[in-house]
Amino acid sequence: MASYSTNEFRSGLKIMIDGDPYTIVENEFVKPGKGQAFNRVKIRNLKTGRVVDRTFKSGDSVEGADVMEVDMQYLYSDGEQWHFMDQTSFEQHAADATAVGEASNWLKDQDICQVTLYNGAPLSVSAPNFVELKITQSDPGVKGDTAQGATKPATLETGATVKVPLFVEEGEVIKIDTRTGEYVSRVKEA
Amino acid sequence: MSHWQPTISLKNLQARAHVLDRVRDFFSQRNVLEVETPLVCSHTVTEPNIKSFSIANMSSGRYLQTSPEYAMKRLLASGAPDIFQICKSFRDGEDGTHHNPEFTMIEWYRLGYTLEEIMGETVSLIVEILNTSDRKLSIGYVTYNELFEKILDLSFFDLTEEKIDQLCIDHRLQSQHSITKAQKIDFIFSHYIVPKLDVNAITCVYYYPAEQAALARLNALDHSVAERFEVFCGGLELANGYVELTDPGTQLARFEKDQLTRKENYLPDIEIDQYLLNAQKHGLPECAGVAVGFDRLLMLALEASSIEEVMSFSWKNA
Repeated sequence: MASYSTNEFRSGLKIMIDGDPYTIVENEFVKPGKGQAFNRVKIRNLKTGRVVDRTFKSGDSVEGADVMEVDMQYLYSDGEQWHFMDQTSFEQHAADATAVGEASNWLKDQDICQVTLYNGAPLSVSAPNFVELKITQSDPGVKGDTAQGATKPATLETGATVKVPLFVEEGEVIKIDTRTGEYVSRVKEA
Repeated sequence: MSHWQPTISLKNLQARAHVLDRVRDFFSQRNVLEVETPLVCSHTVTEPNIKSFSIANMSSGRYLQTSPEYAMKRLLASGAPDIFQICKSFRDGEDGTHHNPEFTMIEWYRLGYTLEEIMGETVSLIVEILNTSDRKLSIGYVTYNELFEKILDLSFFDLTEEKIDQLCIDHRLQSQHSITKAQKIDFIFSHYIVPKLDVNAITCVYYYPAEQAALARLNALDHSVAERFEVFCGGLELANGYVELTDPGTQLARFEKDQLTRKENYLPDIEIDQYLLNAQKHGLPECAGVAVGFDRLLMLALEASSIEEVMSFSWKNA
């Protein structure tokens, strides 16, 4: 893997620190007029998601991380692994529960999502920002309960539960923002 | 590819011209003569932490000046009175929120000034530009060592190698192995001390340790400190000045030490500027001088969040 000099640092660059892959979130150039220059960075550990601060002496080199973000189609889950297909190479990849994480709540067959590959294997999966999923179970709203913003739980075809307004019914398809896990709107089926 | 449009707003473009006028007024009221010196010279600074742009020439290499200091001192040695200059300066690789490789510097020299006098005048200029009816900055004077005692609760002169390493590790400095003691001190100063400076104050830091004297003379009574100062507004470094070293022998020894440091750090060799040394041999009068980063001063005056907002075109689309 190539190494990068600090003057190539920019947000999004993937580097190896203490054996883990990281992405640069923020890069700040710090230099006393007469003194040594430094690059102060905020970096996100791609395995744990944690953001930490580090400072490099400017001019130093850091090993790049073999990390790629690839759009893939979600195929199916066998309970232990989630299977995806690279849209260009048609290569298939299996990701475990750790890599899929929260995204498993929102994945529906055929959906396109972003899979982060580290050394060729899935490290994390991001669901599309918005997904459309069918409600498989939800009790009818109680008549007369007209309070503004009142909600009830609804179970989706993926097994996830979200809060929906009382007027939304079982069998309907709804749009969800996967970043917040919140209901956005009803979707009219064509 | 970046946009073709300027990085400065029309409002800031006008403000920049206005502040330039006020800086010139400041010096003309004090009878300081405006001068211009060459930006492209045969020599450049030997300082290990400053990288000059070199330019290919038909016969020999030349350098874009990192500051007008040497040429201005040659003017003083030839009998010039108090002088100031507002000019472009160039430092390769210095690019960020508060840096642009090409920037504007205000530099001036005062004959016979003491450290107190030159610091006072520098603060006056900064206050003149920054203070408004609804913004009053307080002013503080503190020695380099007092800052260490105040913020780190230890004397700079008692810092052991172990303590230095510990401070670097605690503040997440990578690449410990490739770093010298002087560089670690710079790290500690810029990561522990500077961020703790009062955000609503102009802080004059003076009596830098002798190893960081640069071109300042050492204090006559205490040779462990130099008559060098810096001015910060909040945590932003605005000015660097000295009661100037005039002795050519000491000057030569410092240049040679720079060259050695360059060699140890695998940096390119830089020839010593004999024009400056010869001027000092002829006689540089006792004087004090200071450089102020004009763009940064403007950033503060206009409350800009990045240096590019006060420059017509920044490095990325120059």
